Amino acid sequence: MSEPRSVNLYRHLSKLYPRSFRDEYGQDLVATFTEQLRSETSGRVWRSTIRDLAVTLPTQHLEVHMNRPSSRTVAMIASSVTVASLGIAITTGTGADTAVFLLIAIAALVVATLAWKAARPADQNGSTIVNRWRTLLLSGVALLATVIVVINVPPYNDRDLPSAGWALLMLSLVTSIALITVGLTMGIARRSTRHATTD
Amino acid sequence: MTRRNTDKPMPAASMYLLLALLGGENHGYALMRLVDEQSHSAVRMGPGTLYGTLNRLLADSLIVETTKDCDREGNERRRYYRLTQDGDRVARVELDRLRSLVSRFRAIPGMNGSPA
Repeated sequence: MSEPRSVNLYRHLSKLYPRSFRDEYGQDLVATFTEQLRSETSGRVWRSTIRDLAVTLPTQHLEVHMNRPSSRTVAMIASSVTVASLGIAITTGTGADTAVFLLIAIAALVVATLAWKAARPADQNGSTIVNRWRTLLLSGVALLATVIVVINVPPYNDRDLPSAGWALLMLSLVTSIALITVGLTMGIARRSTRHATTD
Repeated sequence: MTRRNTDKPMPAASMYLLLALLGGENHGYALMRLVDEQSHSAVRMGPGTLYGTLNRLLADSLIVETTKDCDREGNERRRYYRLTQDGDRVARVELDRLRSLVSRFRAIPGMNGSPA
């Protein structure tokens, strides 16, 4: 294989590395491979490169995966706590319990926002779920609006729905709250990250 | 910063790179060649292993990057690396460990080429 073809093929193969590794060392990987080709035979270089790729591709992905979850896990847990606390606060009606659960929800929302913000630099350039906060938020609002419309429209507004119907409505209500909360959290995190980068 | 436990032997690629850097700062490809020479081609690193290992050594603060503007084709920047104080200590500990391993094996009758 000619040198430019080999380099081109290796450049494509190096795209299989995780983005963070590629961003940091992508050019160096290709430059080193090119230098190898200039001092060794193409066959020898490719044999060692294939072995190298077979070992380092999974290793690098594993390393990224192992480094990433901490803030993401915190964000997911805090978002879940927010949703659960909001759900409990809504179902308990009014009173001291509601206030306590609302406070927990607010605290968890703050933690979730910060954690999503911390998790972002790892995949800043990628199209991640964080970038889809608007979709989540709008889906939540649409679902909530549907639930509100359904329970206020005859014949469903007389509260004589079958238990399966109520279960479906409740599930939709909880899902809509979850979508709105997660969408809002991600949106706030994204906005604050943007402000931090432009400052 | 991750502190390395110097009681345990380090992975071959890390050890060879640290030992190669004992000779002074160098860039990635030159380090790769040095390791190849030092190990009599027993350790042949590819670019992925080279930069993956350098990345880990950087994370462990055993080396630092001292990128210089050098004329490669197209005036690309070439990254140079050198040992930190900690890296230098770890490399020398590793060297002593290898020396003592060799001397212990040499003390065993028949292991130094002489009959038992």
